[in-house]
Amino acid sequence: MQRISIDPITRLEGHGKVEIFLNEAGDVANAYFQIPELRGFERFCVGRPVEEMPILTNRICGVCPEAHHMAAAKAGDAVYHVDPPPTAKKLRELLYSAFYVTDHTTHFYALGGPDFIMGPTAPVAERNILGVIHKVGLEIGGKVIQARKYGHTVIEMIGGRKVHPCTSIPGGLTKGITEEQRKEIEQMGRWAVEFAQFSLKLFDDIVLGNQAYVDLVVGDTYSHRTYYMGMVDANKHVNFYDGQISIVAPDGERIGMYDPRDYTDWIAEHVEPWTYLKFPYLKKIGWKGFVDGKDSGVYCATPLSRLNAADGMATPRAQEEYERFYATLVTEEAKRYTATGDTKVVHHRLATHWARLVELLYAAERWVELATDPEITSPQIHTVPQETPTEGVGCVEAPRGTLTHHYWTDERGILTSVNLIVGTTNNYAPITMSIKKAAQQLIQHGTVVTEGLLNQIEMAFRAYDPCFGCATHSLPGQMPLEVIIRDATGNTVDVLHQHC
Amino acid sequence: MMEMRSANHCHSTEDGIPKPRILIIGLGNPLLGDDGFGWQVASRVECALQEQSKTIGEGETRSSMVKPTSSAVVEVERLAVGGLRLMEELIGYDAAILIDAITLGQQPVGSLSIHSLESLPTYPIGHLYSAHDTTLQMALQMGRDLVTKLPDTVWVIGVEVVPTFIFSENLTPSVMAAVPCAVQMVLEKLHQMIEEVL
Repeated sequence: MQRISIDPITRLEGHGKVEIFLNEAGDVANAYFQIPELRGFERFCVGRPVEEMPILTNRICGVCPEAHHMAAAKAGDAVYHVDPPPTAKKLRELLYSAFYVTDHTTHFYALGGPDFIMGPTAPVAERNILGVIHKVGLEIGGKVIQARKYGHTVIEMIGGRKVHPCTSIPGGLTKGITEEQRKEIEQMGRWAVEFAQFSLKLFDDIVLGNQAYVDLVVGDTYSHRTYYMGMVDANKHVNFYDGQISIVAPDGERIGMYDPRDYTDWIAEHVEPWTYLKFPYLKKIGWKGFVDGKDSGVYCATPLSRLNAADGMATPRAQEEYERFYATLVTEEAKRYTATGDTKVVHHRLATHWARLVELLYAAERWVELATDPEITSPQIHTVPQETPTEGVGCVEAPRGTLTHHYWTDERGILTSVNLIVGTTNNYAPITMSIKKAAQQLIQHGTVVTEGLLNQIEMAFRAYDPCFGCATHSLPGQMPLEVIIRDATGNTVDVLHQHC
Repeated sequence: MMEMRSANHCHSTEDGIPKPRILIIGLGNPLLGDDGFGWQVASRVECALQEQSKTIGEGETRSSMVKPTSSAVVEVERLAVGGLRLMEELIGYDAAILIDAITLGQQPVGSLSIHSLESLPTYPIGHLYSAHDTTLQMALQMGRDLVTKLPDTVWVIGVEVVPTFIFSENLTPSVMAAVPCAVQMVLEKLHQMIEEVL
């Protein structure tokens, strides 16, 4: 059996390794996505006060500390059985909306965008954000930096720190905002709405305006028929901060909605011998292996999943884009898979980049909505906990998927147990499936591996925006991409390197 | 006189003349064992500079390591970011020193090394790279293309580590032993940079 190794993966948070095993005919037999898991966090937390968790957990990950901060804060509320005042919830969601704008902007322009704007087969030295701004225009770079700057400013105003927020505590927040700050936040939010619309227009022009890219997006190589998960509000519209978890089947049927605290009724974890990380799946459907279909419990939790799992967006411009998204991408072929001949589900994984931009617009609009809410400057930002702490679950939609924190404490609020299901973990099985499928279709009969070809395999998981581990650990000083090809006896026949 | 500031303070001026700004950043995750090296060094550097600033202000003995030959604003920060986010932190500064845990694989664990940023490769080393966006070098190039004020000089002081994936607030003994020397290296480099910037 031949073996192709991609190690580590470029532009992927943390470092992972893809191994592709070929059979003697030169076709892909198996593909494995292996990652080093950060270990011992639960044990690290036990014995600490639960109110420390919003500070502690946001250091798990250097990419989305705001998501861990929010999930931990909500879990802290639940542990103390306390309901924060409306203003505290709105301020948290406002911070979170600004975070989404920065995060989705960065992914589109620095990670996903280069594949389309520069092209999947462009030299790797050009397939990055520098290539993007030089091709599309320097002003694009300025807008990206501006969007991030505004997001960071709001996060610091509400979260107290520019990188790792520290103001959420059980029962609410430690500080509110002034009217002067509110005005500034509103002004920045209105700019962010325009920027999100600009980004969607850019996607239209560059991706949807190029038939080759459209074919790539809607082609079978990057499609999977899995279940989808996402948080929705009372109207079943996408919500990042609070709500129930909606699950839809591959044919679009909603099979249920659950309160985050009931997650163990819905989610179970499968173990494979070749990786430390577990594979979450839908308990009611069951684990049937790394396979598509309604009988397989594999689910996905991404921007695309959130749109699939919801009935719409809660803001007007994002709703327009949501409708355009489905009007464009739900194909007649997809409808044939359903009992009723109709569906509202998109399975094309590369469409996740478009879905992310729809969410970007929603986040920006929500930012403005909350900044103009009459209650947002109220001094009522904290409810003092009165009850004995016990156990609680906090859940938010991290940009990379549904994030669940579950804490148990003694009567003093000292942690006795911790369980986390992080965003990307939800997607471990579908990522593995996508890599294998892309590899199977792009490497056949011993086809010579080229840099562009390997990047297209990477594109299969880059759409998920995977974030294993974090930016907060040392990375090995080795090539960002190394390809080892072995013959059927395991001997190395070629080694290819790719630089960022 | 060298002026010690916490990060994020406004650009200081004296007689209307902007003072050069130098940023020292300890990079890493303080919860992830040896990855917290940069934070520990930065904290000690901050203490040393505060002490020195105080003694200079009182007209007492100056530090042997940092000779405040002229005016400069030195700020110390501890961060767990890379790529674009790290570049954004450097906007507005004239020079910077980054302290990080790195894995070059050429020296024993605990070995210290100093590099100009330009001399380092643009693939993952410590926190100079965020796989979520880009390398610091590329981010700085982007910033300069956008005519953003960024440091002309960036030095990286690194300690060799074995990457860890187990949460801990403690450094391993060999990395811990390198902390005092790293503090001295930062202070020496800082003094050199002040003279060069001025």
